[in-house]
Amino acid sequence: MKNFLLIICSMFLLMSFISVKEEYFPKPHYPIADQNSPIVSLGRELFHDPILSKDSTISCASCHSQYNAFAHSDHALSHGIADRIGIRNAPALINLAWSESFMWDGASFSLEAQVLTPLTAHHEMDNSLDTILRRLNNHPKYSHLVQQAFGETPILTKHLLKAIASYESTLISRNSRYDSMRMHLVEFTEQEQKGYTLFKQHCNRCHTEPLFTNGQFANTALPMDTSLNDMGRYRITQDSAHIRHFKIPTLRNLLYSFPYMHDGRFKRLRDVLNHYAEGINMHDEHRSIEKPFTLRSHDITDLMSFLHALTDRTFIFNPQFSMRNAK
Amino acid sequence: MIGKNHITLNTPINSLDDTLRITACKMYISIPSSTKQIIHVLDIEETLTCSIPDEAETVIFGIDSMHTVNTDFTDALDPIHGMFWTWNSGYINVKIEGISRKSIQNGNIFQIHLGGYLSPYSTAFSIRIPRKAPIRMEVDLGPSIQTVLKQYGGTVMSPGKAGHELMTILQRSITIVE
Ligand code: HEC
Ligand code: HEC
Repeated sequence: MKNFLLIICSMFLLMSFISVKEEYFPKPHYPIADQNSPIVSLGRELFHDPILSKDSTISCASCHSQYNAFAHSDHALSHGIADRIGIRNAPALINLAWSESFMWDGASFSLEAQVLTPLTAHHEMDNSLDTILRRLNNHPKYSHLVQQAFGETPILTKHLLKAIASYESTLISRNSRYDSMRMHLVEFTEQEQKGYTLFKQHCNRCHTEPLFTNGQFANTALPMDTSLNDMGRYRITQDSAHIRHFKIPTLRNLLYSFPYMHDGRFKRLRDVLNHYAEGINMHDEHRSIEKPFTLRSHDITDLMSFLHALTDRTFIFNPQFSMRNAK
Repeated sequence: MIGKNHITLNTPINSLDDTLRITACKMYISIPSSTKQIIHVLDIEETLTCSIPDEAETVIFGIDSMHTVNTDFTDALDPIHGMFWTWNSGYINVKIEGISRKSIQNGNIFQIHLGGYLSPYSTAFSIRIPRKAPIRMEVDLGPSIQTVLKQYGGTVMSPGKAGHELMTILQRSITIVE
């Protein structure tokens, strides 16, 4: 009798874990593809293949490397074919299925539409859609993979966009210490807990849990970089309320996704926190942060300890995300 | 058309106190329907004719915001037609390019790319059509081209106020002839 009760109890516990797990993440906006599906394999292949760039030297992964949480660490501003320098820092690609707009200024309205931008941008891959489709259609591997994934050929724009977006939808990170804490599997240290409290007080309204972004745009009152003069969201909406507003980035896997901000100006996480504590540009009338946050040096250390708890090594090292036949 | 002159691609037209050549002219026409919206891309290089179902009461110039955001990138909506802004997501509803003596651009070119699906500068508009087919619509490009040359230095290629204004001018330049 006792044994029987124990089994029931443990089943109950297990079930409650599962339901908690589903509860704290909202519903995704884009359907999450099955990681083992032929569409995702095709997308993964394309994401890593320089065939997509004009001179066949650069793939999506050149700027979005898994070991940098799919961001880029060598340069502050992105680096395209023929050493052309872009105007912005490549963002990390994490939990994109929950996002409703893409790019620092929200220029792209969907994960599929976004794919078109790097393919044709002059300072990125600088290719034309005709050329890409012709190359893929002449490539026996891709004809085969597209046939497997979609049951039809020739390869059309929609196949290319759908496959890459489906692969990107699987880049999910929800296995950090923070997530274990949410699932009651671990408890935060005192320092992490202090940092978490400060986080909820100052940061959560923009970097909202559990995605650590509310999907909106804001102006963090960075001192202006007059050489770039990037107007952010204003470029898209031409509404002066959006001047220098940028997409609020997720804070998951920050340890890997340096440098930080839309122009990659900060190399260290501590530099970002110092900005919030003492760098707020009070002359920017379009800023979303009224005045610097009161954060003393030990508060910053506590916050850092909390932000470290957002690191998910299973994401950074997930072999499913990288090329199957990679060395 | 430009003024009273029909346009032929790459052929000089004397009008507007100028000698103009049109090198490209493409536009989107959407036809709302109870089932799936029918979308055509009309290109002066191919055809400026499309079929409209008998029950249609309006046609939309351009792609409305709902069909932009929910595009499946197939057929007329395939970006391969060169009518999708990759840097800014969204379709170019009307594309007019040509050469004019009055343009201050390199090679005297002018380029009008009208689009944008976000309010308040969305550019798709609908017009009522008579019930009986066939119908013929004439669009006078003259006023739009004049405005772009006079006020915008020969090019408007992004969504916003200028594009919206030009689309309004274009809208006023449409006549339906039976
Ligand atoms: C030359 C470097 C470079 C290449 C190559 C590149 N990207 Fe990017 N990517 C960037 C930069 C820079 C941004 C930010 C651009 C902006 O905000 O204007 C970005 C933004 C993105 C975003 C938006 C993320 C978000 O959260 O808003 C996605 C998704 C993305 N890239 C996917 C891709 C895919 C897929 C490819 C290959 C087809 C690719 N990138 C190729 C540099 C690059
Ligand atoms: C008003 C909204 C807002 C608040 C409040 C806010 N942030 Fe941010 N945060 C942003 C935006 C927007 C960016 C991107 C800014 C840019 O690139 O110009 C950003 C960027 C960052 C980055 C860089 C991430 C990257 O990948 O580049 C970090 C780290 C960060 N914030 C941490 C914090 C912390 C910690 C707090 C609280 C102390 C905080 N933020 C409060 C909006 C906000």
